[in-house]
Amino acid sequence: MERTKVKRKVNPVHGRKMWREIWRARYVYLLILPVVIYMLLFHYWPMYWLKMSFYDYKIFKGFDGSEFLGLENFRKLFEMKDFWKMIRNVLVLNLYSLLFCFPAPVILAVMLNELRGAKFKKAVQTITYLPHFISMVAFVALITTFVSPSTGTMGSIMRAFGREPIYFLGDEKYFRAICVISGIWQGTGWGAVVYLSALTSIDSNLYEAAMVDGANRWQRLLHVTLPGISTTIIIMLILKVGTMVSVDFEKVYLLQNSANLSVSEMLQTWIYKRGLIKYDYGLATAAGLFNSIIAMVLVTISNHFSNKYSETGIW
Amino acid sequence: MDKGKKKWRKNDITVEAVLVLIFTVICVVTLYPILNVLAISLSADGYVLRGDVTFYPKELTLTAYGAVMKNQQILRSFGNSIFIAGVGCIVSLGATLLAAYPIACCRFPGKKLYSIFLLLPMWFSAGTIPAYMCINKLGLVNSYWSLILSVLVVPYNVLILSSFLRGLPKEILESARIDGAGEIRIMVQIVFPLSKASLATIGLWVIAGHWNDYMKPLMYITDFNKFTLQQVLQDIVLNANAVKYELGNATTATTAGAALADQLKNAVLIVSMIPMLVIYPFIQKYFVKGVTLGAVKG
Repeated sequence: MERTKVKRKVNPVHGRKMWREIWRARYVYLLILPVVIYMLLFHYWPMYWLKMSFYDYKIFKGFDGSEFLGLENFRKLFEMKDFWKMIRNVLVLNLYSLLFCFPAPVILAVMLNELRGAKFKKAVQTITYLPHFISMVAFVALITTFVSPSTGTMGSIMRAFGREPIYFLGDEKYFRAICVISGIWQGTGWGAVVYLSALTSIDSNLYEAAMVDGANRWQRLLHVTLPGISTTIIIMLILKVGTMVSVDFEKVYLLQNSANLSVSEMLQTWIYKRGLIKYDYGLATAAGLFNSIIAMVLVTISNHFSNKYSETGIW
Repeated sequence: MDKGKKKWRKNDITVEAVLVLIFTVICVVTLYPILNVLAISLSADGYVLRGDVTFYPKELTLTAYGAVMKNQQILRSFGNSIFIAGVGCIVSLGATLLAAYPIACCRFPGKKLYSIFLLLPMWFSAGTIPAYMCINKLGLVNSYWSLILSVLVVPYNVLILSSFLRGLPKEILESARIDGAGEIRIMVQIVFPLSKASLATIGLWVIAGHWNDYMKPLMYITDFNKFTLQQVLQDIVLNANAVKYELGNATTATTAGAALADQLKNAVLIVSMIPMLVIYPFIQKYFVKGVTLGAVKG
């Protein structure tokens, strides 16, 4: 109430009044000035450099010395066969992770919720959160040790069954499986946090009412617990779909090798290599711009739906 | 929901037993890769080569750790990472408070515009190559400030902090203003002490982010002597690049050499993980807070 009143008083600002407001807040502007300068320098200045996508940019020549290509970089990009393959790799990997990595935390959270021993529950949570705190480099190192055909556990298991150990990382067939399985290992415990907090907000009267009606544990799970977190599940799903074109650069880059490149080359890793190793700034920037635009559109759409569904979008 | 209230029916005991069994398996599977690496790093050559080491070390030996602890490059990169995380945390907290305080506690024309200005990069980012160009033009390549400054103000953290600051009692701020305190003084002497808990949470996120980061060092730090711990880890463990680090006879083609390399690799891996593994049980609740706050929306 009070707020709207104040607004109405300030809103029809004309000349002098506006300036008086600004003058009164001069120290606030002084306060935000360093932040504004920082943001301009590190987050908005890069947007100016998107200009490189229209040039055959050479770092020592600058924009004046580099050749202006117009949309040539984009044409080159879209005509590249590898480009569409990379897009496909990103989408397929994300689709698999949507199918397998997404439901895992829901299942874990619901199971944890059924657990009655409070101390054991706490211990399970602490242990399953652990992989989230490991750096991506260490995580990939754990994977390589685990699947190593000579000294790793997978090698030992295969030998125990009388099979010849396989070099999993050197075969494109297994790349996606490794990504998805290791993703489940790393992300499930942490992913459950959101659902666990949603589960605690379910009204316990609902459970009691269900019990009075004679619902058994399974029925309570189906008719009280799952509907109770369905909103959260749908929002997480929408947000996940909103990031379908982005992959974890570090993970993919570190798991990549020349043998699995045909399925492991993603737009993000290609941009890095093309731009910062081969110094083809123009083309790499064009690919990055393309990726950013698609990501922006997807996030906007997903945010729209998430807002519509529950008013819990990011903005 | 406390268990004292609930009656344990026979059926419930069976369910509980099955769940405990399943969760025990899940925990073992979660811990196994880490225990395995720890065991290998502590084992003797022969067992490692045959792939015999599983949960516990065979013929306990600390040779690999001795070599790691004596290695100048590894120790230096460890120090580098501590420096980046420590300085980065302090500077980031100051900047985040500076960015969030006006949004939450002040009234000024253009506030809405300022919020949009802060949050827009979350929605559209220029991408890695333009970001690199800016770091390059600012002369920050091979300087740790490139790593610290590129995440100095994270929009998400500003959201979280300003939503907390909005909850502070307005009366305190108003009375301070009436007493003639300037905005900077209010921020430092009143708001800062009141928001220590939230700042600690954000500080831990920043530290963990810096400690585990690999992508930014990969792009911005190319001088071998300035490598962060994650870069050294990648070089030794994933590239098997032991020569550069003068790690014993790890590169000789003999079988003993290869085994030593394996234990060494895993020892480096464990050393890099120790700081996070030691503190994470204590800090996990702060991280949980972040996730749930984000889900409820700041």
